[in-house]
Amino acid sequence: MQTVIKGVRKYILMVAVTAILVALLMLFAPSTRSLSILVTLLEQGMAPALLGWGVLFNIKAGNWDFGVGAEVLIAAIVGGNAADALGLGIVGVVCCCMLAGLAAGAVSGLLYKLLRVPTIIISIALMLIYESVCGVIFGGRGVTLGVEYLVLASFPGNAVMLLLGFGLAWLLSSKLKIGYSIKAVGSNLKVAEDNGIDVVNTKAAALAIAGLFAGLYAAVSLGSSGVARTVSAMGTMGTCFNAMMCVFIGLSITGRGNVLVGIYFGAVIMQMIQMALMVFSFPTQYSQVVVALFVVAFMLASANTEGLRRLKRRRAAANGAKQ
Amino acid sequence: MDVLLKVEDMRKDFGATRALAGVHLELRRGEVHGLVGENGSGKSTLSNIIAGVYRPSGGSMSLDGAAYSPQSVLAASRAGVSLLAQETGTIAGMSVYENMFLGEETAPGRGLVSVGRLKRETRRILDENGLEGIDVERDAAEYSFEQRKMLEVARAVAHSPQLLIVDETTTALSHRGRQKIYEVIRAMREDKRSVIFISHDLDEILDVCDRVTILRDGQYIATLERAELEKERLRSLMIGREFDGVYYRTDAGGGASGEAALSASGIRLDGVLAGVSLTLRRGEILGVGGLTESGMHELGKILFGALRPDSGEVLSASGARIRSTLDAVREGIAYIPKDRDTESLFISANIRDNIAAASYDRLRRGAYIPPKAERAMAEELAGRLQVKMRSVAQQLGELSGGNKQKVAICKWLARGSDVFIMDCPTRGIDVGVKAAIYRLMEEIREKGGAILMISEELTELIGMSDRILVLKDGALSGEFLRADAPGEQDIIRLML
Repeated sequence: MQTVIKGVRKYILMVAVTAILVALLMLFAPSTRSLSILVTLLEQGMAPALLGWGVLFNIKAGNWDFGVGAEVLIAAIVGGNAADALGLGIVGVVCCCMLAGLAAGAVSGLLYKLLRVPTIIISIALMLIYESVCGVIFGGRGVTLGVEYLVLASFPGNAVMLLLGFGLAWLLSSKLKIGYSIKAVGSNLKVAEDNGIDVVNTKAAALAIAGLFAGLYAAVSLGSSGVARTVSAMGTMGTCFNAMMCVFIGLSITGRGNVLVGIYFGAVIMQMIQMALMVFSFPTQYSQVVVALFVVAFMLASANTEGLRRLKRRRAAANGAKQ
Repeated sequence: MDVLLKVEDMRKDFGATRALAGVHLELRRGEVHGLVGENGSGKSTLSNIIAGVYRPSGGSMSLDGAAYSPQSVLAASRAGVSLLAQETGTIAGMSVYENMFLGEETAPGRGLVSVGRLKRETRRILDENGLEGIDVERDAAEYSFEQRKMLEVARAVAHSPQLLIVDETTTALSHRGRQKIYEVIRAMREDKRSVIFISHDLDEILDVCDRVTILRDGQYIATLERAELEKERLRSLMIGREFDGVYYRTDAGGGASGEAALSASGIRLDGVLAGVSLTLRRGEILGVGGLTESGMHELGKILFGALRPDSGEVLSASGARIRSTLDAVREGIAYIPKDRDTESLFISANIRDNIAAASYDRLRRGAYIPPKAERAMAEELAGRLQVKMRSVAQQLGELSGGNKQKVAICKWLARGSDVFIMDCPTRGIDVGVKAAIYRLMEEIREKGGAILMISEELTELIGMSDRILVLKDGALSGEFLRADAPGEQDIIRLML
């Protein structure tokens, strides 16, 4: 019983925050009051959560990687075209995209290891390179898959991919040494180094892992829409930032629970915000501002939890003194 | 004699700086070997090379008769060498069990990490070391500096090392913490394992060590046998001249004016401080003593506005309320924290930037900071406090602990602060720098400044303070005047 109570306590914050926001949406927008909308929200959060889990490894390792969006693009185009040409089916698309994403991330890690240039510079340079390469390979057409591939947009395909991604992220973060090394390096580089952790290799590995999840996200995108078009002039940054926002919201609502679950709920909240903007016909040019404000609000609440506790204590002390 | 570790002609250069110049050391099995020297003498560099943190520039080592050249801390640990470092060795944001197995999460021959095994093993190790109260799942940052140090001790001992290096670990600990480390050292000796013990506290060295090696300016000076160990002799070998023995103030005190430089009333902090009030007067050194957990370190932070109390107020000489560090700095208050590396200095910046850090508003001409003025100010202050350095452009991280502390003081002198809150100002500092800091404190006091000195060293409190406040469980338990000439026992009685 104690274990159950402990478990519920761990996850109550993220579930409660998401539930309250969904309830508010349904309260103010009657058109959203249906189970299918709720299911849609839960499904729409799946793909961004996959990329968010990859981004999490970079954030934990102290890497600034703005190239994951471009890695998604190149993984989709290379992986999708390769699987299609070889007739490997949807499983082939998933495998090829993951391999292509891993390779793109590994290049980023390798360059960081060889050049010892900050990851932010490496990732921006590679983002430009990957976007340009995508505009050249396969005649610059990107990738278009047939309808037989479109099985990942709905249940059970999307759930299978979510479970696959979750399992992979959990394995890497909780069951393999690299997950602990990444956390240690990002939290205190010097102590990690003094304890025999290879800091450069660990940071490089985090970049590669993010690439692997970029591949997974690419596969889900392809399996949902069947299309990936080339993008230029840092157009992939949006994908990267959306994933980062899911992570930031996720981190702020995780509490003592599992951060991977928190990021999934963060992704659901992001989708909910975007749905709310649509429902209330909010001008599209301001929608990013609203999303950004929500992220700041979540981070603010998270960062000031200690301050709120202190305020509570102070009030209690003041009440005690009065009595 | 059964030799465990032999270090021969050890050399280490950091860029143009020669940290070790042909040092040798012979460590016998079952021996506690002291390593002493002034700050910058090369003690920590040598211990870091033995523990695999640094790679040497030259020289050789053998462990148990076989060539030994660890490429990492992990390699040294596998060879049976563990290091208890001066700085914090645990990671905030990671749980206790994750910290306990840092870098060694997987069991030999296993690819997967078993969290259950890590938790169980951590629990066992903590229990064996008398740390039953520590929750293995909680973030290490939730525990005090001393508890985290004890975690490191438990981690080091858990590997059953044949050589344990204790590098200046004890000075930051309370009496209880020190006793725990002495227990570990005694058990190592009885078990025919060896310890290299580094400390600036010569009394401690004399109590604990079987032999002592003295280093000076990166060079080997001498190794003294137990029978030859004598405090004055160690001091003169460390500093290369006879030490005059005068550390503390010799005056009778009583020079304080009636003017309050800083006052606090009814300071409460949940579970830490229970309504502390005090007044620091100009021309006074006010000592604050107590056990590590008495709340005195938190009190220092509160007086500087770095920690907000639940209730109570702090007022400057002008009567302004101190609610943040910005308020304190504006009112000419300076703070030298106990943990200087993380709370006071920018380790990766140079000496000039560190000294100028609090004075940009004084240096600027409009929006422009003249580099010449910045450099001149840094050179003047560093010269005045005799910081051992190549130039003010040298990275601060390359300096020894004592010289870093001098830079921390320079920073506030540059700003013209005359009210100082000093938390363990001579922690981990050698005799020479210690004496220099005491003289500086006297100078500040004589010029009408005020110093609130928090200290865990009773001799320092008695030797330097005009007045001593003793804190017990977050409340003031007594006060002594210099004229009362209190003894250590008088203070201890109020602390416990």
